[in-house]
Amino acid sequence: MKYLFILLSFFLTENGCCNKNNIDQEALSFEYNATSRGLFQQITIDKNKIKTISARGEKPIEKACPDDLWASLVNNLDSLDLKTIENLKAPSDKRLFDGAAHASLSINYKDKTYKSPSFDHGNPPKAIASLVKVIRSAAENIE
Amino acid sequence: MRKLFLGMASLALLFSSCDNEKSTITPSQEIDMSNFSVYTPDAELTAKPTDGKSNTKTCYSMNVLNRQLQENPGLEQKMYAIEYQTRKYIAGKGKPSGGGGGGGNTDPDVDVLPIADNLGTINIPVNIIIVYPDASTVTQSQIDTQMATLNDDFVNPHTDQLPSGTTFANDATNAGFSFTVAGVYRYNDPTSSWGTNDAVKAAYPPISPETHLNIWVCNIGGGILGYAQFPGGAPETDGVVIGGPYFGTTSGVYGLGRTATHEIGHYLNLRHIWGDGPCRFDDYVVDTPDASASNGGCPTFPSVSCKSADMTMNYMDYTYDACMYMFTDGQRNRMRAIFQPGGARAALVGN
Repeated sequence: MKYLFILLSFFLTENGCCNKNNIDQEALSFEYNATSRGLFQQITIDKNKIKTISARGEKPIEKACPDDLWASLVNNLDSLDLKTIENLKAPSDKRLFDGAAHASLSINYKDKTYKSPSFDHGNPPKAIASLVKVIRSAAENIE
Repeated sequence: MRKLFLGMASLALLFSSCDNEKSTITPSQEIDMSNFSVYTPDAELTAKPTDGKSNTKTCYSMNVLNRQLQENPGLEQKMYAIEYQTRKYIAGKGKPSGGGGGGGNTDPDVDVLPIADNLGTINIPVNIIIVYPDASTVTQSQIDTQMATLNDDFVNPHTDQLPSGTTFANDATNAGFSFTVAGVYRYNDPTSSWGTNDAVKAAYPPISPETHLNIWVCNIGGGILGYAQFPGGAPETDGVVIGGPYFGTTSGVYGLGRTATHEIGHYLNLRHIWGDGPCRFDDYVVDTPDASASNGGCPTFPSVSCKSADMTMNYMDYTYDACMYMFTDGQRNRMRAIFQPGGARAALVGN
């Protein structure tokens, strides 16, 4: 009986523990934008592809999205309430006088887009900092 | 000192008006500071009140201000005082036709008249500090063409360049500024990238920043063409920084010297034309249409956001050099406000 309980709870937690198992990963994508007069960067990532545009009006460069990168992005959502993204506060405001590019993060899930207010490229709000880091590193590895 | 005092006085009024809804109306309360933020405001704090009562707005501004004072008390107080002085000057001297003053406008046809002051053309003496591994790579021709561009952009309304269909011809302005070179300083320095943390200013301090505009020309890096400092900041970092390839007439889409025009706009207290945020974020100028984001490249008119055509040809947008060619009368008044007696840059007049 005792063993059965342990076994049972193992299965239960396996199914219920992680948010990522409840996420419809096919309906999830991330978009990071950074814009200044001399800088244009757009990175979009879904389960299958990473697309980057590094100059205004240029065609995107595409490559397959590695499983470990996607897992890392999905893991980052565990600690993030999507609804709070719209009200995040930028920790610095150098973009107001061009000391930084204007950046923003959008998470598309099902038919909704959760978009952050703009923040300084290079200094995202704490709650999305590790997510932004993973997204930007994906773009750096593409070139 | 006087402007600081004014700012403090207005602060006191704001605090008391929140505590007491029935406080009597004093002249200072007519200056609506509710939408002002030294930083980009929190979304919840700038939500437009639904009941139309201004008292809630006043309390919002107090909250914004409280937060700012905690973060950097000295600078925030100064910038608040400068904004107060600017709004008081504009409210006292200029009334826009066809719309209200103060906050964001939904009517793109608001026309502001240039305020008649007795300053005439305001001449700004410029110190140019060139810092490169070989400082002679920034040529005398770049300096000459940069000054020519500034002396044209801050005077010529360029209405002939407007595409057909805009309502901007009556907004384009002669801002009434001229620029003269006071000194050129060249330093050979092997640093390859100075960033935007004012490192170049610490290494090569400005000359007479109280009375002169200092322009550092150096390699910034990180895709940044130039950056500025708003009025109210520390004198030892006051001025603008421009990357060498974007200084004066050079080549490419940012090769006409408009990076300096844009940065000096910030130096003279202008915000980005889209207010650095969504439609409800304002640039504190009433004759620039609301916009939801920056425009880049060379847009075909019209680029519509917030239910009206964006003024993509304004120097305070992010378009290519050839595609930006105007300030508005409202921006002119805002820039000139800080040169009035008691204004943040009044000491530059007459040098």
